[in-house]
Amino acid sequence: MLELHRIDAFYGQAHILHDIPLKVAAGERIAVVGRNGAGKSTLLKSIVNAGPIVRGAVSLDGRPLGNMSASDRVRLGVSLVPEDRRIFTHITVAENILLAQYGTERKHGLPTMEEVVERFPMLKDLLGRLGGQLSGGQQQVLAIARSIAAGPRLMLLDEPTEGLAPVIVEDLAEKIIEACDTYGIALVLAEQNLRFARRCTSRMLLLDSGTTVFSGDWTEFGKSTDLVDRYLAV
Amino acid sequence: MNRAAQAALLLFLLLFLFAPFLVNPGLVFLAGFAMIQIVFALSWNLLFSYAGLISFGHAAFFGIGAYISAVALRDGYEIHFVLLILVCAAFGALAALLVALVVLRRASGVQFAVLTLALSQLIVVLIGYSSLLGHDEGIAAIPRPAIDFGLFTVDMNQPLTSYYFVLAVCLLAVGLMWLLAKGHVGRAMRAVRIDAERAAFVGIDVWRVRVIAFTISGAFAAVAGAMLAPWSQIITPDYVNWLQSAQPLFAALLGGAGFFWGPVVGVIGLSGINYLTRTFAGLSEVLVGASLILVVLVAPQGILGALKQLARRRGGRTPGGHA
Repeated sequence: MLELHRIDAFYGQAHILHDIPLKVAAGERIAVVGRNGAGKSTLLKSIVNAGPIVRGAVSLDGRPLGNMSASDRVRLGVSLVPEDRRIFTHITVAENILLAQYGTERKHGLPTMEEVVERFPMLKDLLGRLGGQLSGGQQQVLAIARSIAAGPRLMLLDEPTEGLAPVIVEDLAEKIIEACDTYGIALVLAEQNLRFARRCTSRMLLLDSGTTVFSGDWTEFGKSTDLVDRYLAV
Repeated sequence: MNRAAQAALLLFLLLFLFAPFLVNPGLVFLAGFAMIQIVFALSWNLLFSYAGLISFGHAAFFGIGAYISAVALRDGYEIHFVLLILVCAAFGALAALLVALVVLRRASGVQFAVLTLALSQLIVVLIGYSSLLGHDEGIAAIPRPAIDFGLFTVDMNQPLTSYYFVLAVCLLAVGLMWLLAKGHVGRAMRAVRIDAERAAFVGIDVWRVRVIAFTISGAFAAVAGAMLAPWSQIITPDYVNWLQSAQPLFAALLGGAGFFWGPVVGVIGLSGINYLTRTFAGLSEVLVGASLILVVLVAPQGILGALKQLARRRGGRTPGGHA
């Protein structure tokens, strides 16, 4: 469904991504891993045209997205949950979820508020609370719930485990897999937490300094013992 | 909204409902004028507190409604007055849409505000050249219509009927704006105001939402203007001038910018100051200025903001009132 053909991304003069290829099939779940500054977030932002200047082709269902704006890409079913969660702090949790449904072209078959809450029970008692009054973990869950409420076909998650307690991380993995399977959502997960990434996805792309150093499934990755030492060890 | 603010708004509604039986005709006229200003101020606030756009020339749209209504009534056009209000709304919306399409592509901050101001001042100049619009003297002695609703007729020449018709239209306009503000469109506007980039990430077309907000706001401002023509029976370029554009801003500051009902409280407060100081030449402006300075220093979120803070301190209900 998603194809990146020889993507180069820039912030001003800085060349961040070099010649990145990526193919994601419908319903497939892929992890993008790498150290800080490897270009994981830039890759996700390049897919939705949310910041970097991108050279190369990004296509969705064979349709080149060209200069299409971030909001139009989201309306096509690509949903980005950025690293800083980006929930709306001055409106309620329920309104945050409803907003996502306003911003999608799909008007039928979207998960109802009840379904979203059922999937993320943590939000049940928080619906009337302002987004800014939630803890980091709650905000992360809301950000993912909001993304799912929009009925995306492709979800881009940027470091969802950052700053979260281990027990929440465990639960989050379950929720993400469950939601992707239920709604047939493809996933591109940018993550430093290898255990979490492995749990949520079947395939991975390893980036280092904006270039691809490995692409394959987790079993293959596990066999290449030096990859972790060379590209992921602190 | 906390209970004190709810009680205050209910009290205002009751006062408006029973004003003709409680006060003299002069005050009833001011009450009608205040209701029209409330619609105008809320239309501006929809733009400011919800979409995050500041218009310094909103009186242009108010003036479009006022002058179209005044000309149609003066020249005796065979048009139902309710339809005339809708025509005024359509022209207000169209003018706002054109401005938004041209200006919002390139500016949304201070430049946008200044450009709207320039537009309204341009209209003031054009009115000065127009004999149809009565030059600088405006249009006076505007006849009040008798509005046929089939089963009954509302004759605006009857003071009581006229007052309640204005009240009904204003309540309808306020209700519609409230529904808009609390619905999908209002939610999208707030998202754009809070963080435009974040809004784009959830699929909201920021430019489109701003254009919609400005168009809707222009339409409601024109409705307010359309109501003023038969109510005051005189329309002058002063109603298009920058000082008229500043009224909603003053009202929102006083009542509470960021609250849907803030401008209502503000307009009533300003009307009260104007009325109480009517016999002291120049004192009204001084008091309005002093009140605004006081509010900005003591309660930057306006009267409703101060009430909310007070309720919070006393442990009362707090959330929900903010835009």
